[in-house]
Amino acid sequence: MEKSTPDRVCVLVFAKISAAISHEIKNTLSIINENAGLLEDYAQMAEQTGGLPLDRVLSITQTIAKQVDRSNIIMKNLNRYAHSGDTSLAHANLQETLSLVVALASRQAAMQEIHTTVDCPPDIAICTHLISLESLIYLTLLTLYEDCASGSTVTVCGDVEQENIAICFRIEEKNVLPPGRFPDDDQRLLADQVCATYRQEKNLLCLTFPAHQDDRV
Amino acid sequence: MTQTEKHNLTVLIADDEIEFASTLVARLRLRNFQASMTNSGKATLAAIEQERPDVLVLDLKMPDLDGLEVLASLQVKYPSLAVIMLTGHGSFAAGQKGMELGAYDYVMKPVDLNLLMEKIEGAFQSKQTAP
Repeated sequence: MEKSTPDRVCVLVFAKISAAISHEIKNTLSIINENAGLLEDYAQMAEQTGGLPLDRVLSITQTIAKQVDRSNIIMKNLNRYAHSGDTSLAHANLQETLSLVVALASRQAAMQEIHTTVDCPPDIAICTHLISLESLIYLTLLTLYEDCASGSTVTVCGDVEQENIAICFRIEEKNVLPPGRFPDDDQRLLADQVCATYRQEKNLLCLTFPAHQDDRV
Repeated sequence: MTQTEKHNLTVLIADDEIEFASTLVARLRLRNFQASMTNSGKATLAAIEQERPDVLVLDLKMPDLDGLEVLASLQVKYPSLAVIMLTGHGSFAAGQKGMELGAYDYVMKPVDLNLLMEKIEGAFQSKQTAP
């Protein structure tokens, strides 16, 4: 079997994210397609009856505009994630990074009916292997979603602890993380690259890593 | 199939994208189908129990139970129900998996309505002529 590397894991995560996002885009396109079709139906009916149901036409155009906005947000998030790999080390804002990854995993959360919130001060700067960190958070969220009951909330908290960053994933009391669940092999490879360590408790999982990594690490 | 026959054909659209499902229902109704919708796997099973539609158009990816789980459950309880899978996958594999589990056919998103109507009618007729 081919030996895995952090880069390979990042490619696999990128593939997972691309698959989820292409589904989302297909969904928005499907809604736009059906509404364009319904508009055409009304236009054909108007040819026969001489009148257009203007309230329905307005509702259709609003739906189409909403789906265009939705698609735009999805693509902006994918674009931001893709550019995280532009340089080996990158500066980023922790709150924005957490919000981005939560948004990228939103389809999987929705499929499991899990609500995810981010609780992080807005002014924490990090310098790290950004795409590896984002991929690590993404894989961690997917594993947590598998372990949480439908209807649960996952809270992702970010904070500074001296020179380190702590990202904690808090799950509700009704869910219990199986002992030794984290990290799996892929998570371990990425965690090593960003010098992160996991600490797992019953309803809490924390990732701690240096706020500012340099190339010598 | 005549307009009168279509008028009596009941179609359930199961898809968690509410705006997609509701618009598809509206367009099918304009074409004389009796269409309704559900937005989750469990709601779909409940609606089938209550409404007994002729044809189910079933999305592959839904919260709670996904389309293949719903399909597997239906094959046991309602083997005469005609099912068409809806898939947002880029490949045919997911749709073919549904056919292996007993679906009549599949359509890919975004949907070509004329093609979907052909498949709805074909699915219904295949169940009518089945031994």
